[in-house]
Amino acid sequence: MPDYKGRIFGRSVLDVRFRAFYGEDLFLGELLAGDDPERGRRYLFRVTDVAYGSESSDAGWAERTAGGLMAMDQVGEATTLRDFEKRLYKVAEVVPLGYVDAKGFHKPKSLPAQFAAVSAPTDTDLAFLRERMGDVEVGRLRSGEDTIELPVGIRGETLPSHVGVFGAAGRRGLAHHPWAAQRLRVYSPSPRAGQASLLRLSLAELTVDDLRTAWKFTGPQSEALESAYALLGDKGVWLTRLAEDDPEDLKDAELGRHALATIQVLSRRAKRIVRLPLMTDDPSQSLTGKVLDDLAGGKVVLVDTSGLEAVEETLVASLLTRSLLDERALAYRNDRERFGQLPRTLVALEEAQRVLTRLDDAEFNVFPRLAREGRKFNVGLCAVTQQPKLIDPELLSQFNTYFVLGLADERDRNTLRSSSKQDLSDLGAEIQTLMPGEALVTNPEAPFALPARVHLYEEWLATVKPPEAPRARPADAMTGFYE
Amino acid sequence: MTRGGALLVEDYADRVRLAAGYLSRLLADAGTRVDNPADEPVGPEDAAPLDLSEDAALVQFGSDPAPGVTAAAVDGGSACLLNGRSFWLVAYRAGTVWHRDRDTFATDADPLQLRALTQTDAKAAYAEALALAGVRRERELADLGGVVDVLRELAEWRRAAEAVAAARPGDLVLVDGSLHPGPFLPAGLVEPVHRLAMERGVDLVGVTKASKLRWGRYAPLVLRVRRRAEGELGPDARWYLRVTGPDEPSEVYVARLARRGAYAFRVDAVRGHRDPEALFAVLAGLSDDPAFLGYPYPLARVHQVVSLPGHLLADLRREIREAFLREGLSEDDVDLVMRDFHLTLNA
Repeated sequence: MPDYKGRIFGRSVLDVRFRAFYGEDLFLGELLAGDDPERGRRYLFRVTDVAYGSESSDAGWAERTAGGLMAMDQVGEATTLRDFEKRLYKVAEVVPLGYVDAKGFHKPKSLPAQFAAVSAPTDTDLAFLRERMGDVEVGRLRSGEDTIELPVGIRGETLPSHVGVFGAAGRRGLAHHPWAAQRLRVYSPSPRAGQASLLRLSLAELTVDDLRTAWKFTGPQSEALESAYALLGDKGVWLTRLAEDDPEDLKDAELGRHALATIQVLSRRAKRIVRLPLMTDDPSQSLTGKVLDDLAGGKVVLVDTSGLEAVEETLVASLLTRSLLDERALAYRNDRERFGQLPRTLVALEEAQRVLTRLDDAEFNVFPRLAREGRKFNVGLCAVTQQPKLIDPELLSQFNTYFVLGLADERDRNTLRSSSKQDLSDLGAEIQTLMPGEALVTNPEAPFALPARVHLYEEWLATVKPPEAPRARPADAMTGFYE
Repeated sequence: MTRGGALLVEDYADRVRLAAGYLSRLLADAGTRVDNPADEPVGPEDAAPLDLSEDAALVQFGSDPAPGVTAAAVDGGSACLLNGRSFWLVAYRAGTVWHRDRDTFATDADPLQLRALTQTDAKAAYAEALALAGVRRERELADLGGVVDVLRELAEWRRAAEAVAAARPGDLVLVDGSLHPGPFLPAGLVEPVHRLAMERGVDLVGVTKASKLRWGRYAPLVLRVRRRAEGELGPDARWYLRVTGPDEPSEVYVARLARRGAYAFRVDAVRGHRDPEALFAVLAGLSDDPAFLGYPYPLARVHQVVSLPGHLLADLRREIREAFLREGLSEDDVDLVMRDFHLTLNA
C-alpha cells in the first residue's frame, strides 16, 4: 500500500478533488497536503466532503448492488462484494487553504499539480502556523478526528476587537484555577460560600438606557420613562417613586401627559428592580467602583448571576459594562497616560443574542455600542450564543475572532458564513458535525479557519503552573535605605 | 390527431399489442427440437439438431465457495473504429484474469490491436491468423464485418489455450461465449483446447450472455427453460438443464447460477474434473457478486478489463482524424471518410 492517501484529479483552483483508497478513513475538516515538486510547493487542503466512487460509470450501480446484497440476504446466502478495494474508492472534495514554498505561506491562486499525491501534512508543512499562533492558547490543531501537536490560540492584544463564541459552551468554574486566589474576584448578588463578595449596585447608577436594554419598551413607554427620569427626582429617587407611588397619583402629578396604563407598566418594572436584593438606594454601598478597580488592576471579575432572572441579569450586565466603557472612554479623552496603563479588558456575556439583536439599539444599549466603539478604548466584547442568527449581522461583522462550535441550525451556520473574517462557505457540514471540544477558530491573524480541539478545562488546569510566590525580602535589603 | 393532413401524434398502440401477442405465441411453442445454428452451434458444424423433451430434467444444486480453486477467465473486446465502406479500421484485444478465494489476484491484457483492412486484406489476415493457430481454413470470410469478430475470437482462444495449459487440476477456465465458436473458426482450433482441458483435469466452461438458441420453432431456449423452471421449482431456485445428449464431450446447458437475479444463461462445459452438479455448485459460488448476481464474477471482471468503452473509442477516433490531417487529407475528405451522414440526419 502506498504511503499516501490518494491522488488529485482536478477540478479548479478553489475546488479540488482527489481519489482515495477505499480503506482510507477520511474525515470532514481533515487537513491534508499535496505535493507539487515541479514548483517546489506543498499545497494545504481541508476535506469538505467525502463520497464513494465505483468502477462503474452507471449512476445506478451502487443502488443495484445494494439490492443484490439484500436479495441474497433474503434467501439466506449472505454475500459480499468481490475485489472490494479494486472496485470501490472514495472521492474527497477539498478546499485549498494555500500553499507553502521557500518564501512561506501563500493564499491559493493556482492549481495544484494534477495527479499529485495527497498525504497527511508534516510538521514542516505546518511550521508557518506556529509563528501565527497567539499567546491566548485554546487548544491544539485538529485534523478531522486527529489532534496535531501544534498549539492554537489568539493574540491577547486582539481581544478588544471582540470575540464570538458560537455554540454550546461548557460551564466550569474559574474558582479552581491555580491563580484564582490572586487574580479572580467573584461578585454574587446573594450570600454564598467561598470568597465571593456580595454584589451591591446603587439605584442611582441605573439609567433609562439600562432599563431599555433589559426590557422592550414601546414608544409611549419609553417617553414616559424619560419623563420619570427627568421629573421624579435624581440619584435613583425616580425609580423608587415609580415603584412606590400610586400610578394614579403620578398621573395626576408629574406624569400627567402619559397614559395611566403606561405608568402602571413602568411601575411594575420599577418595583421589580427596587425589590432586587442586590439593589440599594444608598450610593455609598455600590460596588461598581470596586469592580472597575479590580478590572483596572488586571483581575478577572466574575459576576455570578445564577440567582437572577434574565432581565435582571441583563440589567446588571448593562450597568457594569456601561460603567466600564464610560470609565475607559473618560480616561482615553482626559488622561492618556492613565489610559495607557489600564489593561485590555474583555466583557464576556452569555446568551448574548438577548442584547445584540439590533445595531440600531446602540442609541441606548451599551452592548452594540461596545461592539462598535470598544476597540478604541481597549475594551472587547466576548459574545457567547447558540443562536448567532439572532444577532445583527452588522454587529457580527465587528467581531474579529470567532470560535465556532457545533451548530445544528442551518440559519445559524449561514449567518456565520456570511459574516466571518475567513471564508467558511464550504464548511457547513463540518460545523454541523463538530463534537464537544471541537471548534473552528477564525481570526485575521490565522491564514484560514483553524480546526481546533479545545483543551478540556480540567486537564488544562493541571498543566497551569501556580503563580510564583513573592520572594522573601533578603535580610540586608533595607540596610542603608534610611540613611 | 391531424391538422391540415399532417399526423401530430401517431396512435400505434394496436400495432404494439399485435406484436406482443405474436411474441407470446412464439413463447408458447411446445416443439422439442433445438437447432444447431451456424452462428451459435451446440456442437460440431455437421451435428444434427437436438431433441430436447419438454420434461427434460431440471437439476437443483448448491453453492460451493471452492476455497483454493483458481478460476481463469478469458474475454475479448472489439469495435469498428471506422467504416470506410471499402475498408474498415478495427480495434480489438483479449485478456485474462485469475481469481481465487474472492480475489482477482492477476490480470493480463493484450495491447490494443488496430488493423486497417480492405476485403482482400481481411481475407489474407484471416488466412494468416488461422495458419498461425495451426489450423486449416475451411471457408472464406463473407464480408468485412466478420473479420473483427474472428480476429478477437482467435485472440481469445489463444488465451484460453494458455490458461488451460497453465491451470492446475481442479481449476476452472471460463470463456465468454460458447465452446463452439462461430462459422469462421474451425473445430480444429477449439477441439485441441477441449482435449487439453480433459487431459489436465481442468473444467473448461463457456457462458453465453445472449444465446440465440431456439427450442421448438422460434421460442428462445433460455427464456423457455427459465419460465418452466420458475413454474416447477419456484422463483428462488438454482438449477440447470442439460441440452446436449449424454455422449457429447462438450456439453451445453441452460442454467440459473444464483437464487436471486433475473438471468439464466447458456453454459457450455468440457468437464475435466467435476461431475455436473459439483461443477455448477462451483459456478454458483463464483456467481454471488451482488453487482452481477447469477453471472460468474471472473468473467465480469475480465469483461471490464478488455472492453472498449465509449470514451476510449472517442479518443481513438479523434486521434485517427488528426493523423489523417497530418497525412495531408483535407477536413472535407476526412469528414467524408469518417462521418456517417445518418448521424447528421438524426442530430
